[in-house]
Amino acid sequence: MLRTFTFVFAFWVYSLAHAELTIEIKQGVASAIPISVVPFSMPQGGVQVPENIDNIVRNDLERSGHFRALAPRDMLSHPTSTQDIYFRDWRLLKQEYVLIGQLESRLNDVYQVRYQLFDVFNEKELLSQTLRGSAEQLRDLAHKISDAVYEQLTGIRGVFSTKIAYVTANRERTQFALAIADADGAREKIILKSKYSIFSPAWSPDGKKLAYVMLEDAGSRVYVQELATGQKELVSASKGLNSAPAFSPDGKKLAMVLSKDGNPEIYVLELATKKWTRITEHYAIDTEPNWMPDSQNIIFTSGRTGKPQIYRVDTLTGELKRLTFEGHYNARGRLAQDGRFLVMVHQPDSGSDFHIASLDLTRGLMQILTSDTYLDESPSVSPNGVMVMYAAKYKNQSILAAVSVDGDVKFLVPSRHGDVREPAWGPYTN
Amino acid sequence: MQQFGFFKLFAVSLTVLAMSGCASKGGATDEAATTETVAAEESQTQPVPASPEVDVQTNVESQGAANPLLEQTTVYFDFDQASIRPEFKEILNAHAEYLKANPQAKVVLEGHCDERGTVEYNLALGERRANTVKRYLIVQGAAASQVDTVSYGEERPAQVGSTEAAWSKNRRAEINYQSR
Amino acid sequence: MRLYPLSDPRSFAIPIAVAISILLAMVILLSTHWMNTEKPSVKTVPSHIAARVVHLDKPKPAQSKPQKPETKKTETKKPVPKVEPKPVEKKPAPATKASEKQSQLAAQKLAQKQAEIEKREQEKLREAARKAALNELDNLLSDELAQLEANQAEQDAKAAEVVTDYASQIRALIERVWRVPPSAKHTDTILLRIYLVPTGEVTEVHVVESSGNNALDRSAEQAVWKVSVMPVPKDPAIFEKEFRRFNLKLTPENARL
Repeated sequence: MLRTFTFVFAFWVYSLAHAELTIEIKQGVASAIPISVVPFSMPQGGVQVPENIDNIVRNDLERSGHFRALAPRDMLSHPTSTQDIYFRDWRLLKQEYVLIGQLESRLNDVYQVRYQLFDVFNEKELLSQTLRGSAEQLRDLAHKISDAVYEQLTGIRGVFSTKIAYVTANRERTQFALAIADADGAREKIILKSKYSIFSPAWSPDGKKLAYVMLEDAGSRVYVQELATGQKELVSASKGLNSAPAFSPDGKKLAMVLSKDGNPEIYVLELATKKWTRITEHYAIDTEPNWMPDSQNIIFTSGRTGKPQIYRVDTLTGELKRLTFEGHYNARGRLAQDGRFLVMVHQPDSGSDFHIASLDLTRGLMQILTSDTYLDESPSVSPNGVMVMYAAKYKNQSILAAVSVDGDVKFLVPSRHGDVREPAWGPYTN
Repeated sequence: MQQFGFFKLFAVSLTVLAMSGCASKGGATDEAATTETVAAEESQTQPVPASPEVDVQTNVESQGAANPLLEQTTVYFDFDQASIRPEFKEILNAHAEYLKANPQAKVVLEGHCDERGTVEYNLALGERRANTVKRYLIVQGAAASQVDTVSYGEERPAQVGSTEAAWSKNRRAEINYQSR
Repeated sequence: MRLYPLSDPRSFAIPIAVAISILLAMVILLSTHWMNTEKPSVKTVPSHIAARVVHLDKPKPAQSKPQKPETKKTETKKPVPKVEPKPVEKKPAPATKASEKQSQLAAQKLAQKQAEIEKREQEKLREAARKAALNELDNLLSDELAQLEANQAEQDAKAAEVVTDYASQIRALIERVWRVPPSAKHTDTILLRIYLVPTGEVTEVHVVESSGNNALDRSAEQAVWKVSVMPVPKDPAIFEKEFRRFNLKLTPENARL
């Protein structure tokens, strides 16, 4: 009897344990999201529109690497309003999201764009917005749409509306120009031309100023230029090096390298008071300062162990910590994703190629991100921490390229110029 | 510019030779002595050199026989190194001797790097190379006031290209005479 | 119960009948329990229990004991509405069929054994003393129970194997299409409840526990819809028991953040 009971009891317990089946999924894939950006409807009356908005959005999303945009010619229909969308068709095309929109032209050169984003599986609208702007602003509107879609679907703020700064040079290296363009390379604007080499452009956190180095005959000088007025101010021209400027995230300080005391050291200039503070003190090279998000700690490159490695210093306490140990040459560190990743120029062994690498500061994992280009330099991280733009050699030309911090997405930034170098990704502007 | 500096230097070194010649031999070579003086005067009155290169050049050509090591104004470095390679010490010794013998002479040492590595680190490395040469010259007898430094990093390559041949020509320090 | 002498085969028929009836009752209870619980029940049954139950582990009494009173409560309250709704009746049908099969099998075997026992008994009654027979019967009884237990365990093991097999097929399909957004952290977890029809087609997906990241939640839901038809066992009993409604616990452990 007891045995019978225990048997029944055991089965009872067993059944209970099986009351709810839970399947555990421990991994997914990091592939691109299929999205269809349907050509937007055009204003009536054959108004010529200077920009192709849906095309810009499609390119933006594609280039981010997180999306795969269906070509309009492969779509079964081109709906421009909700009632024209047949979700089944889009499912057949294996599309997960559909973006539609209407462009209307208003009085006084004002355009109005309305867009809607749909979830194909749930057959519901995820996003809709109406934007207005002039003909010159159509590109901005397109980037805004890309930003909204990107954030909705990836959970990360988009950077399509941000700007990049970079330097162009002719092959002979006798003419240099500092330029600003949209993050996709469009609408380039040259803000400075010089016979002297220009490098290390650095954005102020409000996106209104650029600090940079100009290498004159007498040596390097640091300037800060106001973008709106084009006015340029000489910030430092002391004896020796004046280089590697970096605005603190709070916009109050400018870190840079001076060698007036004999060795390249990191200094901080308080912009309001013009007060200088020396941060490092070592006979080796200390350079390439970059602020941490707290506007207090600085990461920098130092040759104090013989080869360049990246360190962190607290500007208030002077506390020093070495961050990189793996590799022969680690320099020009930049932080990504709230300081979680350190992106840098990395040479694994003496004589091997220079590539861009990222170091996960919490897990201690070093990953080399680039491989198709060589002599990779000047990594600059997008404000959302996802992409790294860098300068490299490709087919014997200096070009800009971009790679995602996880190394999955790679693309080259097209250029009409001879050599392009020293990219600096600008901050969010609103 | 560089070529020009070269010949001036040459002329100056000739002056030195000739003057020492005067001292030992008495007034035997009067002609030579007068030409040298002219040259010396020119360089004094023109701290920033401009036009008289042609004259100097002819002088050089007519005289010949200076310390040939002074013609070499570039020393080369290994990658990511700022230490002076032994084979260049003789050249630097010659320049140091010259500076020591000519307190009015002034040089600017330019430090350069190849394109590998980061722009800013290379700028600092270029300065280091220039400084190493400066220290060497001072140890060998030149006065600190005679030697100035500037770094051009990887911005002014002597040879364009991404080969070891080009790189090795670009990792250098150049001795530029401003006056002699 | 003890009215029958131990020599009488009926003396152990009762416990077996009790066992089978409890078994049956439970199968019905469980299957109807599923049918009735729509969305609200998701909240009433503490979801952490559901999430904790890792399916194929051998049940540890220590773990399952504390669950018993809770589930019992919910079940004892339900019997009244349970039997009435028509769709409910339709669905448990395959379940009872299966258990009928089970009991038929058991009954057949029982009958065989009983016949054997009776034969032997007659001989023994003639030949041996009653005590000896008692001893033997005692042995036989325990053998019988052991065999029953073994049969049951075997069936359970087989069912469990089937469930594992299909669960891992589903897992593989989801893992292949689950597009983890770049904002996902490797510690994020989403719990989904999936409803299927016997063809395996997905009819409903509910987020039971959100990760707090909308893009990640949506990616998980999308993954289920993308698969749209899940592989499910042909055996209706197993389908009803395990796959008509089940949970998906998604954790992007390979995410970089």
